[in-house]
Amino acid sequence: VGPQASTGFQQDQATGAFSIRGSGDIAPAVGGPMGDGQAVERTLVGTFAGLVVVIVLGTLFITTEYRRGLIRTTLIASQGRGRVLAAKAVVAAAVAFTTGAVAAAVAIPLCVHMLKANGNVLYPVGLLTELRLVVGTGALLAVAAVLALAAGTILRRSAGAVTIVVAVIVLPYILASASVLPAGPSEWLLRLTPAAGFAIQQSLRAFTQVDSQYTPSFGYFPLSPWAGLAVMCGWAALALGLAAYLLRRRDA
Amino acid sequence: MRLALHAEWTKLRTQPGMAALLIGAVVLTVRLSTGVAATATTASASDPAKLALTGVYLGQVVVGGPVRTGDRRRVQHRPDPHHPGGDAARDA
Repeated sequence: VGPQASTGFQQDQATGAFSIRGSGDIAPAVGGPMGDGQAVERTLVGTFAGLVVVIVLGTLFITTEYRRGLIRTTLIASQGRGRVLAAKAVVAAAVAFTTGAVAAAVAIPLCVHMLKANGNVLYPVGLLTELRLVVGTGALLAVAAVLALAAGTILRRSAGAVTIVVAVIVLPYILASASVLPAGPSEWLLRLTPAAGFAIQQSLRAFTQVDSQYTPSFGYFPLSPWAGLAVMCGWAALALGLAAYLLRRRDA
Repeated sequence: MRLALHAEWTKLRTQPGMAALLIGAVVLTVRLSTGVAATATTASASDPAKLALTGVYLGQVVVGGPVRTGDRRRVQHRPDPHHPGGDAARDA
């Protein structure tokens, strides 16, 4: 296209022929302000509901023992207090993983079907990515359950522990993704807080040759999916370590 | 470790309402997702944050439920010697 080319609809005076000019990119479709498709992870919005149930379950798993004094029986009956906590973490994580993976495995195909039936365009994802979303949602809930169990052990109070865990997982995610904060601070929140784990649900891809806003408010996380989950795992491990230390030190 | 695992698994499994809670969690997650998917059109795609927030309201309701149930089991209405009128008198 020459420099004198103008876009639009023109009629040549001499011949009466019509010509249409335009310009565009030949590039992969990406999310962002110009994107008009739906990302597959939009079908996992419901994760919030499952997440909260799992956080409550993980917390109550230990706090009810403190409430009713069962913790004394538990600690007497078992060898090693760390072992009790480890066993609880394994059971809570397994139950939460199953819940999340089953929910995602049902929600994704169902919602994709609904979105397509309503005339939405979905950004294409591979089978492996879809599998990662299912397994990742389970893993997200499993790590959240362990974090909740640890918080419950540290605080020994249900309400406080549930509030704190919801606040450290859900709140940074909302602040970052709901355009409350500018892109810079949003990205730091999703790098440093446990909310980084939501990156495992990102199916949108960023392409260097396509100019777009690859920011959290458009569904782009600063960390890669598994790195984000690793940050969340780090927090859970830290909390579980502190919980194990306190459980050994304190009287039941 | 196997014994501890077995013990904790038994505790969780025999908790009344545990299966219902987990099935409820799956149903709620799927219902919320399908609800959002059903309303999503290409026009509303520009505001994913607002859609993402829908889950939180429902989530807050879910938080309230189990925590309240847990508390209620513990609360035993014992007459308070300093406030014979009970909760109402103390709150006022």
